[in-house]
Amino acid sequence: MTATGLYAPGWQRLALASVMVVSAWSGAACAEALDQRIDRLKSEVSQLSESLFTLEQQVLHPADTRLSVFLSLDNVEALELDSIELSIDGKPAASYLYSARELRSLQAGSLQQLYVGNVALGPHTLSVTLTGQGANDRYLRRETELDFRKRSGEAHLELVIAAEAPDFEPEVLLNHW
Amino acid sequence: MVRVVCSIILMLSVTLVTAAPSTDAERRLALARFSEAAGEPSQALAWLQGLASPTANLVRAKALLASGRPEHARQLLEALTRGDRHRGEAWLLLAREQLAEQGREAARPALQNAARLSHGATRQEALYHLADDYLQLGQLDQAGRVLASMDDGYWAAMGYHNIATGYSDVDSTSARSLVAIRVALAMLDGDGNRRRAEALRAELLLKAGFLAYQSNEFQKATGFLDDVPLNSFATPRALYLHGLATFAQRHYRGAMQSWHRARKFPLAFSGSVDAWLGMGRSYDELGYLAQAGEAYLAANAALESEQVTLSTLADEVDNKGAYQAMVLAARNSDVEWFLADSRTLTQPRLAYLLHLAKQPDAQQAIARLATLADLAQTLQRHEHDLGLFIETLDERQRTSVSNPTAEQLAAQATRLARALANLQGDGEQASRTELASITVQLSDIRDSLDRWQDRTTLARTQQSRLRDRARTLKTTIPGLLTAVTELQEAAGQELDRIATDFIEGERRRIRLAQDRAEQHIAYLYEYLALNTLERDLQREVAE
Repeated sequence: MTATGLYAPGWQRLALASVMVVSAWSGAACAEALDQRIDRLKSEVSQLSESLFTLEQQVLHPADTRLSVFLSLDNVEALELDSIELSIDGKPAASYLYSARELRSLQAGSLQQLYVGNVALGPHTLSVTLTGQGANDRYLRRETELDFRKRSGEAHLELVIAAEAPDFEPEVLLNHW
Repeated sequence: MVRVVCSIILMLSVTLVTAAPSTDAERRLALARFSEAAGEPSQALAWLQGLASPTANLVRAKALLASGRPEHARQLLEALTRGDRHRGEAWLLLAREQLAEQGREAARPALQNAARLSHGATRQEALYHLADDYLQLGQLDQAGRVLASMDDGYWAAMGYHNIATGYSDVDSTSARSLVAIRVALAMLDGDGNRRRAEALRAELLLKAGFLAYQSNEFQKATGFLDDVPLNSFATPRALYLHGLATFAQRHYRGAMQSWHRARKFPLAFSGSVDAWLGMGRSYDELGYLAQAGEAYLAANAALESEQVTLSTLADEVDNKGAYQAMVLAARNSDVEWFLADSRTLTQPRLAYLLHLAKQPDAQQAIARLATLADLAQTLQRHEHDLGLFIETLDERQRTSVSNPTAEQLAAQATRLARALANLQGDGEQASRTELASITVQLSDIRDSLDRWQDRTTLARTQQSRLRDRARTLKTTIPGLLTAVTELQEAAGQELDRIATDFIEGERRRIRLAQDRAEQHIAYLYEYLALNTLERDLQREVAE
């Protein structure tokens, strides 16, 4: 054991303890300062993302041809939605894999913006493929085709997934705003 | 602004339903809620612009907390606590902030308010924290009373898990702890999150097995440990304990079977190292001394090899930094994603990463770097997107459709409308339906062309404004990227320090186990040498 160890004189032990306390404190303080700096940066990036999101909505999609497709669940507790795929006129437009938290949020009534894009005026077909676990934990995959007409101005379509008793067969319904 | 399109013609038998959110504000709130749940706080805040209802403010506060703006979030939450709605949730969010920043004492009033004013999962979480607070103060009876008022589910199970630890610290027997664990196991049935419940169940069974073993209730211990699933983080330790409990009942072969399975896990897992040594001990007890020697030699070789692994890992941390060497390298495995579960438990690098990440300060340091990596990625994506927007807007300005083209299109539409009018009235019902559909489409086109002049003027003004906005936003990005790089360096150094200490600790642990293996080998050789000497002596005496 060296003089800086257990048998060191009192003042040296006190000094060693002080150094240890100070270094532990400075480590914690340093980590805290780092966290605060990261939080500030995160806040600035978040504000930038928010502005960009708004800008994106305005730049990419001219109002007259814009189509937004939303998704919601209608009292679907018997369906654990895994994923959804959306095609417009046979071309893949969007796909999404759901986390447990997102699914809970949808089940609690939230709304997802599944697709924003441009389509020409006239008739179109939306193809929706959903996968998930239905009642009795059975795996299911359902494909649905829905037709709509795009007229001038913004169009907002809401896909509502419903699965009603007694068979809890999932059904995709189209709601237009 | 969402404009309701009132006359979309649906061609097939599409059922119309009335969805829950029916106004623009309700829809934007519902969209914000999903964005917040999806980990997109910026989008959530964008949807919430102009909304000021209590629910909107609660979602806004959550998004602000997730995007590093706690002061603003705190103001909103404090205002909510003085209102009529979401008081419980607001108190709980405030309590979480206070727990993280100021400690338990400061958070206590907020937790009490959250428990009093909320219901469901919010209330359960608040009660869990209150019970934990009493446990930290050593007031086990008070903690028990709080837990007794909870509904079954994850939070109650966690609470009983913690109180079992509290009882085991103060009691001389394991009776109360085991009862608490049994209650925790029963409470878990109410947890809807299956994976989370399974992970906690494995931990509870391991703890119960350990407590029963400590009380010399070996059969009870194996009973608990038998139920630990083989793919959990607790498995190696459970197998080792199972071996110990079986060994204590003098079932040496049974013990060896458990330890043989525990040996298949990386030595980073607690229990695996001891299982290697336990194999030698079992052979020794069974009287197979040569096999015991071989088992200890095999353990020594495995431990030696682990020292090399740790030394390589330490060098990599020195050269590349801990985040690259441990976190990213563990992620970039060639193993197929669907083998991820077994990979987690069989790869040394991942096993050490999991072990390291069990330390709260390491977890925070890794989270910091992951956040910064996300921010860097987001900024690079934004820079690219903004560049594209500016290009697109410039291009649109250059190639905007001239009025003569629009006029030609209008003339064409008029000609088509005339042709359509001539066809009206003729033909069958099916054709008439089709003609009606074409009429609608043509009418839309003409309507659109009628507004062309106004729309192009407006579009030019808007495009110019948007381009200026995009340029301004783009100029802020290089500064933010520099800040991210600086912080990545500082956060990386912090993680390197923690990882180096951790690896040093692991090397000491393996060295200690190696010493034990070598001592056993020396003892065995000494015993065998003495036996040989004794036999030789007896033979000489007999001759």
